[in-house]
Amino acid sequence: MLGEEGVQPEYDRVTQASMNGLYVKAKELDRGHNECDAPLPAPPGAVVDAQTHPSDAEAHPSDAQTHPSDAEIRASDR
Amino acid sequence: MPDYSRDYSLAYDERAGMCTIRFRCFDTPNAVSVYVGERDGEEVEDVLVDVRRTCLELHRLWSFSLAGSDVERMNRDVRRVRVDARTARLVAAMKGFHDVEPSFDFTVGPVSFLWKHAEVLPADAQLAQALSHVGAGKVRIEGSCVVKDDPLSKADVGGAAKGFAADVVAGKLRAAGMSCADVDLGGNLYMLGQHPAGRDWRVSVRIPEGIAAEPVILEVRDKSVVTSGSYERYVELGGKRYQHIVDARTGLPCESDIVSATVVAESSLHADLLATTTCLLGSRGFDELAARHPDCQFVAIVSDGRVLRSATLS
Repeated sequence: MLGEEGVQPEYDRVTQASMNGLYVKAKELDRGHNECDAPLPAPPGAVVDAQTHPSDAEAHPSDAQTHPSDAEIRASDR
Repeated sequence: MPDYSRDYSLAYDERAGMCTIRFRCFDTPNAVSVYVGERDGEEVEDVLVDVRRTCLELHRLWSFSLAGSDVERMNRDVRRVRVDARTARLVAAMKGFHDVEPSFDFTVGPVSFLWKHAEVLPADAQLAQALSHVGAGKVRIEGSCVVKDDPLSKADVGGAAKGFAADVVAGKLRAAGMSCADVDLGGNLYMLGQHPAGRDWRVSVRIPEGIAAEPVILEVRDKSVVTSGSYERYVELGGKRYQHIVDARTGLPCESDIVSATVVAESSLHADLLATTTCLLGSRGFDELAARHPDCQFVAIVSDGRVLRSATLS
């Protein structure tokens, strides 16, 4: 790719659309065996919502309230 | 403790004088090469191993499938999520870009995820339901938290994550005194400095299979080159191929006539966002988009074989 000594190469690198395997090709990938996919420890206070952080719920009462419309949407999704 | 020591490889190319680390991350193969020159080889290897470690950190923040990642937690049905500072900056950058280019919307998550996991064509009602949760205006950053007005909003960072990562890597290489290097994150390139031979780097734009287009070679230095396109990632439903870039305005996979869009910019994040947007807008929107971003260079390959070039491309 970098060419022989004294010879100008046509190109050094190739740019292309990502071969990210999130879609059809994801099924063929060997997932979960690389360090980047090792399970994460749960960080403290990572999800700030009414269920886990009452103090935040006090600061943001809208989060602590039940929203019937949301419950209906989630029920219909299931 | 699993042994991940074989997850990467280091190799030295004596002829080119470059040391390369290859590793898998962001669900793609990656390679970062540094010109060693007079430097200590072990020092260069240490820098490259550190670069890989940084990429892994970012992957573990932004993988949508990794339980506990910032993106996975953001996409739960909650309104407020504390995230890493880098995630906050990524979300802020995508939100800011949407203000300039409204066709790009990172909250397209509910729709793009619907298409990703579809076994059959999604019904109109499903698409409408998913679209109702799309809207960059519903998400904001408050301090170290991502706040969602709609708890069912979901972020898809695929259009920016590798660009952000490439900028971080380029910054680390510069800070370590590396003045000649190239970063390749799954085809998303950052060319640092000049080629070791003292000239600009020559980057070829891959022509998608089946497209009869003339070759495109870009000459760059200290720039990122990012390509977005429809030819590698897709789903097949009912015998038809649907590409992975979903248009947040319609909820449908992008049907523009651009099969490959390449952007050259100083910031890889900016190039990444613009490359996706170029695909979304199609050939009709190409000239105006390029005119709105005169500090960047654009190349697009159209399905009929035409190659569009911005006026800024010499």
